[in-house]
Amino acid sequence: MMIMLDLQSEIPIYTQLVNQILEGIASGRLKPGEPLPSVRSMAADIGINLHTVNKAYTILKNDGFIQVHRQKGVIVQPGPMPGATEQYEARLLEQLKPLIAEAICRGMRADRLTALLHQTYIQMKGADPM
Amino acid sequence: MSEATMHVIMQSIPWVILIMATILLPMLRRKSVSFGIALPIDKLNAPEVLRIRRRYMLSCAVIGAAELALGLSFIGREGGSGSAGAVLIGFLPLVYLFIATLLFIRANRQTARLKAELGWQVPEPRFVAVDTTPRRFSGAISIWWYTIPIGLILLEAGILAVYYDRLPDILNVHYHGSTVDRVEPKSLKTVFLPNLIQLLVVGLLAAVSQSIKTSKRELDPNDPEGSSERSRRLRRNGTFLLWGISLLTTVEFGLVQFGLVGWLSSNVATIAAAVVMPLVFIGFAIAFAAKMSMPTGKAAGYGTPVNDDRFWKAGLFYFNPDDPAVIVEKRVGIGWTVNFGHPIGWLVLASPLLVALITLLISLL
Repeated sequence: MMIMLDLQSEIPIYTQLVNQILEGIASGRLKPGEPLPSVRSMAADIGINLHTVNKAYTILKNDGFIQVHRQKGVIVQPGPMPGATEQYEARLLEQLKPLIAEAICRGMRADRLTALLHQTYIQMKGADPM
Repeated sequence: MSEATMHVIMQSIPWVILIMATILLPMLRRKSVSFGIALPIDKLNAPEVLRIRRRYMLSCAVIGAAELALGLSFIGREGGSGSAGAVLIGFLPLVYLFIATLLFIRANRQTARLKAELGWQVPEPRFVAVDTTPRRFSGAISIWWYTIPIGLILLEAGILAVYYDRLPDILNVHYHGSTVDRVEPKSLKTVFLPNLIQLLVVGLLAAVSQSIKTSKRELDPNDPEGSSERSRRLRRNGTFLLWGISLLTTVEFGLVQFGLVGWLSSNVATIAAAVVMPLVFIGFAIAFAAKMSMPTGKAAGYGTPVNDDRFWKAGLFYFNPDDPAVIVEKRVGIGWTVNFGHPIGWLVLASPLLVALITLLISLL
């Protein structure tokens, strides 16, 4: 899978990496158990510091989306992915609040917002979530 | 074929190849770069750029031809065996290489000035494409291929070990043309030194092959899949070339060794090791150079130019301490180079020198 990074974006690179890997897993382009490059490899390919890649991998590892083994290297979680816990929902709501607020300010209707959400979900997952 | 004639041929072939390589260098490109300066793709063949390129190629050709003529006239006069002549012949190609490098740097400066004066813009590095497939699928051949040359070396050494007592007591250590001019009594060191050299060379090439595997995979963000495939093919060809050279080198030293112990007549050994094998090497290298180079004018393959000029000193040396990559793709020509801003890069560069030093030390013991 190809990851695209924008070195001049406001979004920090480690966040971009986390987001893109999550998107890869969500869309099925990254399969469970699929190997990922080592921290050193990835950093060399991008041309950035090891710490940045390490930060991204640590976040994904702590959440349970990837596994970092000493011998096998880095792989996408082969078993069941972490579930949508209450904690996760709370965190998601925190992240959504500013987005929803701006939509309200700009006069967007609730059903339009829901439609956009639905659309993006389906496109990413490639199947109907309902 | 007289001594002098054979000497002339042997000396001039590598020299001519060196001169050709420096002249053709600007034609061997994988990136939108001229003399180490990144240019917009549509300006790569602009008349001013072509003028600089032509001047470089002509200067190299003239100076190369002049030096070659000078060197050959020396060989002709002294018969090539005078010690002063021999030293000169050894040095002149190095002098040429030094001059060619200066000519390149001049062309580099001229291109940089041209780019600034005409205000040609090349985008700053912004978007980066990264492949998530791990290194072992990057295209480089597996290191297990090296078991073949190593197996051959062990076989040779094993056979000689078994027949050691039946080997002649006096070994042919040095040839002048096809006559033996120096002999030494048989000893473990004299018999098995070629095997040690074989192992060191194969080891060095295997290490270089592995380092290519770790090289930075530079992808074009505007064509990640295409540039990934091209880079993969390049790594496969490059590492295969190294493996092929390791095999040919093993055979070469094997022939030398058999000539040493008298299993090959001195005539056969000389012709095989000093004439046939070098030609095979050259043929193999040329075939691969053709395979690895991109047809010029294929703009789609050049990738998006990126304004990295400040990291490429004189267009040739990559210096970027912030880049964790040790091995990167060359900017000029085809292949890989080290990141001089990374301490390990210097170690990698010094490794062939270390191998040569070790060989020298052991042979002097």
